[in-house]
Amino acid sequence: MAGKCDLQKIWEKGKDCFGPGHRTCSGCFIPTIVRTVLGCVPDGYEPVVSIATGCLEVTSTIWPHTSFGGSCIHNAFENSASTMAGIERAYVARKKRGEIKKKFKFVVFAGDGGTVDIGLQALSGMLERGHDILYVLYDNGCYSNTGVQRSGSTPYLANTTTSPVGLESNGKAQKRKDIMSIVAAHNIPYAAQANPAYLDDFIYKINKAFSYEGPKFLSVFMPCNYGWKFPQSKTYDVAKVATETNFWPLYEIEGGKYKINYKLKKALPVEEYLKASGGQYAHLFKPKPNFKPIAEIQKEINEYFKTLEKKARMC
Amino acid sequence: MRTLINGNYAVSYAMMQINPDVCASYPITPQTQIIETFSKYVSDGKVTTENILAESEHSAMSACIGASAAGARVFTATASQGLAYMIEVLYIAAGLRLPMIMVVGNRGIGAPLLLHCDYSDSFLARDSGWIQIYCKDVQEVYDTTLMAVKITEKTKIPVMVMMDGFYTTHGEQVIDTLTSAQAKSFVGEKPSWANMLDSRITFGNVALTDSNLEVRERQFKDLRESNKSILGVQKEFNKKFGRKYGLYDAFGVKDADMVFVAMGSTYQVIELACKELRKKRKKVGCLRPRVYRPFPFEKLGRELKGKKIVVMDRAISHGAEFGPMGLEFQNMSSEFYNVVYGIGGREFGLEEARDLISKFLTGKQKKFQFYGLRADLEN
Amino acid sequence: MAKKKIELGARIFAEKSEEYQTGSWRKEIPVVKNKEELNKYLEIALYCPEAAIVFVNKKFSHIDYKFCKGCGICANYLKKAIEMKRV
Repeated sequence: MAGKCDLQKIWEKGKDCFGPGHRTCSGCFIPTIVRTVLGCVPDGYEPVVSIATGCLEVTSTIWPHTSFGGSCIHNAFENSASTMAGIERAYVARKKRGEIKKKFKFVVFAGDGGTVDIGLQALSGMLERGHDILYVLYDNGCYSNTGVQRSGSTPYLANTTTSPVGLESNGKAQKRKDIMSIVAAHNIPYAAQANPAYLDDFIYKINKAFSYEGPKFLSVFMPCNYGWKFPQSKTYDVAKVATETNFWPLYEIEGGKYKINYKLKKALPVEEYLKASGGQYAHLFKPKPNFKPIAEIQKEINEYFKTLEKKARMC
Repeated sequence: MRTLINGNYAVSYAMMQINPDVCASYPITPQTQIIETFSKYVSDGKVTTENILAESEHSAMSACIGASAAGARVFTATASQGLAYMIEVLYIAAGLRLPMIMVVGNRGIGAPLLLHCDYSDSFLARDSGWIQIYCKDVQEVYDTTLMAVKITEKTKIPVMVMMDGFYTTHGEQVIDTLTSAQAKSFVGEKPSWANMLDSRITFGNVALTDSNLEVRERQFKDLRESNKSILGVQKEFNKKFGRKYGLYDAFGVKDADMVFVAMGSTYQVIELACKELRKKRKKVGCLRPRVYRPFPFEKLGRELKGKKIVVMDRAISHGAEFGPMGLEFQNMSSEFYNVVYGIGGREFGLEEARDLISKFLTGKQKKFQFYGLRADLEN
Repeated sequence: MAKKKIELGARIFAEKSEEYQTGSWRKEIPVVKNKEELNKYLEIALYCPEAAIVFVNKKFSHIDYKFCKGCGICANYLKKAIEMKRV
């Protein structure tokens, strides 16, 4: 159902800021995420974007085409946050000297590789210094652009090309890095976990982020049909079931206070998500002695949500 | 104004005088005094520069790129490990054709860890596309820092200004500084360049097999031709302030039989030793490459043709036939010698200079040698 | 021979960006069955990765087939309104 926000306006502004002609995989939600965020840039502001090497960058800015209608910079894989820090300070400096009359919103887009692994240092420095930047992480749980290698954000037991299922392995042996907790430890004004399939909530979070001054962080779920191996038309369905099973809970951390935005009376069993999200978890459904992965994952999901609830109650 | 000052403070002072938009830096020996003193200027309100204290050199240079891409006048400083850490971004800065300056307090790259001067750090960036200028003393560092700002904004090529770690960074000398008004007027108002805030530009996009070669060729050509702009800025500086700088320095080369080629502060002792020998009618000369990139190979070739040259390398190119400078000079003359010296800050003062030159004047030397090895260490 | 300009560092000015059409990627093509139903779900314009489902004044206008990659997200979201047909 169309939400309370002006979707027409968001779509039009989003299309101006990030037009078609990019070479993202058919059925990829990255353009949706980028377009929605940029479409919510408040009136009177222009977006300036910094992107990390990854799916977004290599598909949308190939000479002589750029999908970005506004200014955009790609520097390297790990420094999208520090590059934007330089731009933001340059804006402040030039504005002080009367060189700039326009107003800007500074947005960084990076994948989980460029945020949670190689980009962690630059992100941490940017958050600590308190730049007025919105950092949007599109999390597809792998280095999708280079061929679905595992990242620190790859969930437990996912099948990736560098943590492949094999005779001696059941996929990624480590648990996923909790980037939201890492970001929360920097005491920034606003951080939130969002899902493009919950558009009203997503837009609410983007607007809230833009209303704050200082560093903001959005961790957005990004189902990758190429990497996870599900049919390209099902991207929305996979995103929906991720939150319906509490695999990807929707919550915000505002001034250090936790708030869960979407509480289900009864969450679907995580098995539904693992089935829907495609080939990356197909091996969990093959019977194997002494291997009860789905129950283990369900336990972990439940515990994580309980921790969130506890944190929310304390506020 | 006559001032007693070291290289670090001179750089920081020069920057304070022109009040750039942004400074993004990370501390590393021997440049820490630059950013410390500059931060004090910021704290005291002597400059209105936005001071980004980055969490690493890589991020510092990334922030410089962002700032320059947003149309800001920006500078940074680093050395050694820091330069090596940011090497990826140095290539990007040069490839994007963004104006910025970086001062390098030359310090060797480990392991084993070392703090003192050799050129292994700045030589690492020889191929990156930056303009590289090596300074021999504090006066030159001060002047070149100001000139570098003008050069980079004219050529749209980032400029690296080198000074010897500890010898020049920490060694105090009496220099002539300009007034802030003179410095500001020489460097001039910031010219406008294509940037992300005044225009809508995508920087750092992909240029695949269909376009990469052309971009690189243009970059190569522009760097090679930038020496015209460099000479132009230096000429203007000389006209206004009476201090002359070229692409290289030379003493007694024209009629010399043997020429010693050395960079940085070492040149001072080589020149002194050569002057002493000239008084004794020995036909020795010396030459100091100053602008190392773009390498003025034509001019140097003409100067050194037919002479016996001894190229002194303060860095090593492991696995190569000669040191890094040696490789670039080897075809300039039929009689060529290469000496690696001063690595890791191994002392090379006037005594050593006299000793080395006399060795070459009196006996046959090997084509390539390490000078100054300790006799009492079993290696 | 008309030459194409390449800027320093291959930077691209937004207004000079060359269009890149992705319509040829399609194996299936979306066809609108029920326009009234479609009008109720403006969010579908945001879900289309190519921004190919064009709404004007909050009403569905047309599908931009120059860019539509035929992913089928739209038909999967609103089975009543859009159908995928093989090209």
